[in-house]
Amino acid sequence: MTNLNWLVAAYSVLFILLFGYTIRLALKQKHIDRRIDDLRRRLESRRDAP
Amino acid sequence: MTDRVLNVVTPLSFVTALYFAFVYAPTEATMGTVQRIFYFHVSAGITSYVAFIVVGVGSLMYLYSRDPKWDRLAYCSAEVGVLFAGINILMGMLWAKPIWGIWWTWDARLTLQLLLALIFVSYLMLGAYVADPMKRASLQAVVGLLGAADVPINYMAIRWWRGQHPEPVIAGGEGSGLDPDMYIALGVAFVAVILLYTYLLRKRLAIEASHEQIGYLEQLVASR
Repeated sequence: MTNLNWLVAAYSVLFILLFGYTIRLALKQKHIDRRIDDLRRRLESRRDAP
Repeated sequence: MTDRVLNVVTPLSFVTALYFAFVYAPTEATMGTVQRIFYFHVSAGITSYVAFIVVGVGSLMYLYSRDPKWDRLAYCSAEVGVLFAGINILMGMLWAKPIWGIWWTWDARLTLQLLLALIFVSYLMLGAYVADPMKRASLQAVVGLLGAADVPINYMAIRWWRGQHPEPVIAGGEGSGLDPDMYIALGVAFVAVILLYTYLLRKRLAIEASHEQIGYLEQLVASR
């Protein structure tokens, strides 16, 4: 009675959820960083404008 | 500095925990190899309790001080806590099916763990539906406190009520316990999952801090 397929399924769920959430966080941070850069650039261009 | 240490230590501890769960720990006599689900199932469950207690502390501190940093801590911990509660429940179901022959039963522990996860899902949904930030934070703090109050009841459920879920193997009564090698494997898995929680919580808090920075920069851009 090894039930190896259930063990594989359980650990697959663990990895899918953990990697999925970590990737989601990384994408969110990337999107926010891009938005911050864009806002900074807009601020600087307004500062430089006569 | 802490982030750099966590970036290295968290994956290393996770790989070590997998080694202990799959190689170091002995195979359980009656259930066989499927019992190895236990190490991460239990660790994820306890970590979800820790995360929800952090929500309770953050909520209490927010209601006392009205300092938004406590609200941010509570919110981020709730999100990571729901992830670990979900892992705990799903791994439990995949363990229950081959051993009990059923995916789910309305046993006290299972029901309370599902309820706990749903309370914090509703806590997160509240954040999306209430527009006023002060009102949202206050409402979430109350829900967060109610949810955290479920943690000790959930912990005691397998001691107070007999059901399908096994009796506690840690801090249980007479006749309970684990093989010493299984204890070590469980301890290593718990440390790895707690480190992962800390890592994810810090990442999530950094995102919230960046969100605030965006709000500040948007105000600056609009004012010029």
